[in-house]
Amino acid sequence: MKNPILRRFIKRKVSVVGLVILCLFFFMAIFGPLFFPEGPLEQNLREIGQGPSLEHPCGTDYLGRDILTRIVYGARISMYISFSGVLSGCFIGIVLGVLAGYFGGWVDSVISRVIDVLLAFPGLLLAIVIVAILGNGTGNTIVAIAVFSIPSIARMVRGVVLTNKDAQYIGAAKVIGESSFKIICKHIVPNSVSQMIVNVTLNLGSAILTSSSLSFLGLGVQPPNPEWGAMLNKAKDVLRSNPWEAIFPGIAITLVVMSFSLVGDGLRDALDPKLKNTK
Amino acid sequence: MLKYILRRLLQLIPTLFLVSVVVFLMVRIIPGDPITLLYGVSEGAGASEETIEAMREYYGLNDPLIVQYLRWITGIFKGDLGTSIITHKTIATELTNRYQYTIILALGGTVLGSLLGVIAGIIAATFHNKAGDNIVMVISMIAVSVPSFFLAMLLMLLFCLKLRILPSLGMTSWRHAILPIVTLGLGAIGMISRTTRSSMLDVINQDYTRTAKAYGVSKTKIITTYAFKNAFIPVLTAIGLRFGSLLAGATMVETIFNIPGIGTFLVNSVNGRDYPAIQSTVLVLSFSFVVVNTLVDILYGFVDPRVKIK
Repeated sequence: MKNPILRRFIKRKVSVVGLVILCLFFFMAIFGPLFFPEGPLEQNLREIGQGPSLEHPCGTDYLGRDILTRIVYGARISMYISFSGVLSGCFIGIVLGVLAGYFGGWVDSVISRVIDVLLAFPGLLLAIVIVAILGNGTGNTIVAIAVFSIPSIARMVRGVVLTNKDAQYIGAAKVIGESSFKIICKHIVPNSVSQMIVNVTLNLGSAILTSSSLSFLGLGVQPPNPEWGAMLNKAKDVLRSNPWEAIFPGIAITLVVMSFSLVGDGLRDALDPKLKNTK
Repeated sequence: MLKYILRRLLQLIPTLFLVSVVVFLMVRIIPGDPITLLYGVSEGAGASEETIEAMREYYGLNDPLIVQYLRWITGIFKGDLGTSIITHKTIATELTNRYQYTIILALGGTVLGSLLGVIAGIIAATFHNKAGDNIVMVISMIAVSVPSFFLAMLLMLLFCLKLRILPSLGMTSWRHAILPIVTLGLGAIGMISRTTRSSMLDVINQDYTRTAKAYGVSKTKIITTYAFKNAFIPVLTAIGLRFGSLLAGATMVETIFNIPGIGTFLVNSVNGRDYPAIQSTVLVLSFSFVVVNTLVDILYGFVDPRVKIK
């Protein structure tokens, strides 16, 4: 194979497995409705709480809804939330990181303080605070995810910019009179793209965890929407009699989160071989 | 050493100040205000204009922001965190009653996770690229990916509902603490074992380890005395961070096992739009997190004298 990045990525078998699983879930998210036209809210009161069978591979829930259908539609919600949240958060983070790293001085101090404050809210707390302020629902969950992913990427981009800023080619660009904006867009950002991709991938995994945790607490996506975390919340009450209602959505979350980190790790090794050699 | 500790403690002040301002402002930028949200203004059903105005006056919401902030902050220094709008109890009593449960869970989870994680990481590093390494890495990958609420439900299903050997809800005896702590501990294994492994591998590839090997020091001795001691700092960070975030992150586990900790209080307050309670709980949680992180930083100074110089 010609492309060294692709070759290095394929060499890590687990990352390829992760990528295949992710593709499967993307496929489900995009084309799911074609295969499950009855929709995630279709109730069948004659088939309440049935275990897995040929007709319902993952069983049915307490309202007789097919759990596999709900998981497939849930993939849509989860992917939509995590992608729109992480991408917008990363955009803000990149802008902040570049500004802080490139201009330094008081700009850097202000932005770094903001990041410090965001990092002072441990784990899920920041997301909980945001939905506490804005109220629950899909849109606000996306905002929470976005704010949640700002600090890590802003920090990383700031670091990359700082190390590249004094490189000779930047000095050369300055000498021939290129504007700061052009230098940033043409020289600095492209130099950190590989690290950004890895960061976004890893963030997508934690976004799925965060959004499903919020929905599980009843603070994120609201029922009857088939969000995986919200499904587990409902399943909690019938755990003894219908354990499959919890097990299948739980497996779905775990698989997607794990695949994102496998792919992220694989991308890191593939895009930055230097890093691997030092390990 | 004392100078170093003092410097780290002084650095704490601006962060804590900013956090308190942010927490304070967050609650104020809510669309609509807490009193209206609480009592409702829909025609007929809600409270009258006068009642709402009186409540606003009572909670001091009509004063300028800076006055409100100063009142809140001076209150905190006196141990007064405000009164819950819903339960009408002081938030300080609520939090002190609940903090013990959260600390038990966070400490237990961290200790269990660190023990298992460090052992797993050492095994992985010792058998680098062999079966032992792969098994540990797969387990830690699963451990970081399983959502804690799903893990908790699986454990509950197995030990409480099927085998019936452990109680499932509440926190009335030490046996109630087992499953929540195991859930948090298993969740912590992933990050701690990965950090231990990569940091051990770093050290094992250093010149001085090779020298020790060349002198004929046994592999066990190299791993246990030389490598682990030097690899410990990043591991300590991982453990400290984990403990700090578990103080807040025990929320999911508390909710599932119905434990009256800080996390359940926060979730209830958010659901009830109890803004004074949300504000003070968030402040207490983020303060504890920042303070724990600083303490870990100070610990570095003891473990590794090089840190102090920076």
